[in-house]
Amino acid sequence: MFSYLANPKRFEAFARIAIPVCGGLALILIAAGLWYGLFNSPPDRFQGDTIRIMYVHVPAAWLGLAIYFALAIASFIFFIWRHNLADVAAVSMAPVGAVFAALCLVSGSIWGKPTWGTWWVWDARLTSMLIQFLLFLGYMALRAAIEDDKLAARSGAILAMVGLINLPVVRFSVEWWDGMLHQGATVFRMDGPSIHGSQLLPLLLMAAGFTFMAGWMVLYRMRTAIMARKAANLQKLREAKA
Amino acid sequence: MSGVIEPGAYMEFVWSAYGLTALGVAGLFIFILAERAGAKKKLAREEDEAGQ
Repeated sequence: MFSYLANPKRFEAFARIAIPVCGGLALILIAAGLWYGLFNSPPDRFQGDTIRIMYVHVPAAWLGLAIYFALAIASFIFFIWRHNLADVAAVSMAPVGAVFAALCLVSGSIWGKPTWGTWWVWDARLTSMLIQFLLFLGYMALRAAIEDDKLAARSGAILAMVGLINLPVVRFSVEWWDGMLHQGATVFRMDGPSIHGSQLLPLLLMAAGFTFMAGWMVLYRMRTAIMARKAANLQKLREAKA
Repeated sequence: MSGVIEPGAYMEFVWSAYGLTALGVAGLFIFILAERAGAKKKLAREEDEAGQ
């Protein structure tokens, strides 16, 4: 996939189709998800209307983790095979993932107040998700701090791969530690989702919509990054001639 | 139909969560579009310089 798309013309052709497709699907799915989530799904028996926060909190959490996973895979491909497109993908994903991780923390905090009676608690799920957010920030800060582009890309790739260790901690923290306030998995369970279909439908619509929206953002940023690198190369050539 | 538009407890928490999410996503969109405009401008300038 990366070998095929490593050719800028092939990537451009792919992005020209994928960007509007992702944007269109995101709009349709999010509009449907908002309709079902806010107006056409019942309040929860115990949590009442606050359950509706789940329809933005959970997709943001999934994306915060999925984007980091994709960032680490792209970093690995860059580190081993030196595919520049993989580095462009990794660097384009970081701020998008950081925003979704932040939205997960903020919406979770707002959900926590009426549900648990507190905005924040240092339990393993919340703390590991905060670390996930800080990993995105650390990746961006590291890359921005190193002037040599190649060294910045390699150092960022190493940090991204090391940070991968936090993903299973976030995912399984509710099973590994006792006495957690955060609830366990309700969708990806061995015995199937434990939530009612009327709540599962808006959740899946919003999750799919958010995923296409993130895809749009990453592809759009990748095209921008390629443009910026082209401009930087031209600038270097011009300065070398002068 | 039962929605949050109907009076209910903790509505402010629901709307705050959706509002802040919308704000975060909108901010990201603006950042991405501004970044694109900047890169486009810089590339056009460098291409002009290279052409001269």
